Amino acid sequence: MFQLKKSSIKPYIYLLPVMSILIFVFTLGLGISILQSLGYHPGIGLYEVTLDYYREVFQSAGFFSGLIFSLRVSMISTVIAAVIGVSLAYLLVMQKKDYRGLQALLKLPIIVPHLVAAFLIFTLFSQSGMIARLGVLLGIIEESRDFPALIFDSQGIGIILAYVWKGTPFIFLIVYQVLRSIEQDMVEAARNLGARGSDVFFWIFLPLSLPSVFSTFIILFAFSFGSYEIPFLLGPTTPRALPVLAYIEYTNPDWTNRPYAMAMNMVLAGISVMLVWLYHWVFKRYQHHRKGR
Amino acid sequence: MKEVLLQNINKFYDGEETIKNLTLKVEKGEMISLLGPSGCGKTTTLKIIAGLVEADQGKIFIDGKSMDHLPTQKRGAVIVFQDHRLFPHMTVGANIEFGLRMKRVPKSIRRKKVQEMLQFVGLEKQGGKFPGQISGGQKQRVAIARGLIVDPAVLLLDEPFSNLDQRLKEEMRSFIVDIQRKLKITTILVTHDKEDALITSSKIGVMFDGELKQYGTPEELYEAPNSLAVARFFGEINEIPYKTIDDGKIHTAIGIYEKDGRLAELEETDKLLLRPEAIFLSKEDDGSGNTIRSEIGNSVLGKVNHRTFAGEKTYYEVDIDSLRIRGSVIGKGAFQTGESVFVHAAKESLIVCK
Repeated sequence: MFQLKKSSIKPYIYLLPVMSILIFVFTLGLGISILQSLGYHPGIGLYEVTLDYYREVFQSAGFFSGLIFSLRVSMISTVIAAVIGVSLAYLLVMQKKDYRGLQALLKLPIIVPHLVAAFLIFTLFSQSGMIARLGVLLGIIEESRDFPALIFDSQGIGIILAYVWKGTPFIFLIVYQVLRSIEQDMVEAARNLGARGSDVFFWIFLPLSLPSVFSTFIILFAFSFGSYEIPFLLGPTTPRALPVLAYIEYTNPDWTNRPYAMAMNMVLAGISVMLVWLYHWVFKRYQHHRKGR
Repeated sequence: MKEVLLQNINKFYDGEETIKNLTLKVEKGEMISLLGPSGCGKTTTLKIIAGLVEADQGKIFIDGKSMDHLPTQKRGAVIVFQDHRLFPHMTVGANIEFGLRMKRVPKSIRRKKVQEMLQFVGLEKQGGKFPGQISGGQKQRVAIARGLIVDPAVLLLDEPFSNLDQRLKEEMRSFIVDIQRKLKITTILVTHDKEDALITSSKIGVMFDGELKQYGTPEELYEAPNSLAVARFFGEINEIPYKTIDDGKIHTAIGIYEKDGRLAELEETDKLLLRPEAIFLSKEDDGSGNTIRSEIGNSVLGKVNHRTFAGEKTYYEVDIDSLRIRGSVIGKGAFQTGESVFVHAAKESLIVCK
């Protein structure tokens, strides 16, 4: 009995040094953020705990347009990345060869920092970018300003492009491994019963890889929803993405604006937590359906 | 009911010939077995018929139609795999429905057929369960139902009894035989177990190293195997040394036989075989003063070297000079180790193997 207890505790003991730092930093950061969002910031002389900052944030003109902009851009970019990533993974899995070179190439954007990704998208897709210049060179457009405004545009196309470029390999990498683990025997059985290529994808591969696709989708969505660099560098001034608004408030020289930034961060964090909860809820239901597999 | 014909099928894997010039004909509505040890190419043969593996040479005809370059979806040859391969994310009902769905059969017809099929295989109450929630035998039934629902031209069963315990195996064997008889569906069963093949099939093809060594009825294969390997596959066998002397008789280690009947065409290069159950053992003296030898008229004296009681049978190893043969008797048997016995065998039970 004691042996069992000892062995079950062992992993926690091994992880304690790392976990203690992580938990300390995470809980401290979260605790401070919550307190500051509630107006408690003794460092700048704010002691009164209040929901006023939340109220003001919710009533501000830019908040909801920023929130909707962020949700829309994140959702569109994640859906596109998921569709491309899953399709690529499926196409590659169905090949007899491994195509290691192509796989490495597909994974490349993962290691490229977001800042570099933003620079690349800007260099390629801005009105003074390479594609616009090529368009002029080939005579497709007269002047580079005839090229559609994809960067700093109110639709957030530049941001979407950057997130799709960064997110597709991430989804591809996870889903490819999952699809590979689905036995070819299952595909053989489906084909023998009359399934065509698209049937195999929709009836076998997709349902079996759905938990992984969904979890990767949530991670990617939460990341693009909460990060500010790309919307800051490629996004429009109106509407501004919510993380950008939070960042501007946070870097405001007037420290009394800090609680507004924290209130926005709490909204972002709250939505992310809801997504994680949603993922668990869906996953649990899915597992329940397949219990005893 | 469709006829299946395989003509000179060859298959190579990594330069090695795994199927060698295989020719086989399965009559309409017939159930046959491909019997052989693991790796002899029997499952590959099934996959070739189903179109999951392409033959390098040869032709396949189902109901007279060539299957050349026809994808598996269009052949109508459905495999029930050894490991069932049920889709874990689909219910039993959805698994059975799958083939109809792929054929774009309208939903109302699909539902009706699934219900009928569930009833047919005795799983009416299991339709809503997932494969992980049913037993091995039920999974087997689902796999068979999933294959049958598409009304296949030929049903291919890949080792359907290998993962089952004895009781379930017997149940499934009679279930499959029953279904095959009811539906009269052309069926090819692949197995490594001679009992499965003997019980279920009207014909058996014995395969070794990618080659079909013999194809015939269970009786033909058991009583007249064309090679020592085939004979051994159907159970224990004694190889009996013999000499043909000028007197026109065959002098064997267990007696002298006239060279007629099935021994008429015995050549020096042939092997003479005898199954353990065809060997009769009798006591040296029956107590009446007359030896049994005189009654049988053709027997030799041996000594019981070892006795093994195996429930319904008892096995004996009997030494006749330098030859050791194995015999069996129903029940306990009356002989003990070290006892002298007379060994005799009817001429009709001797197997000549070319």
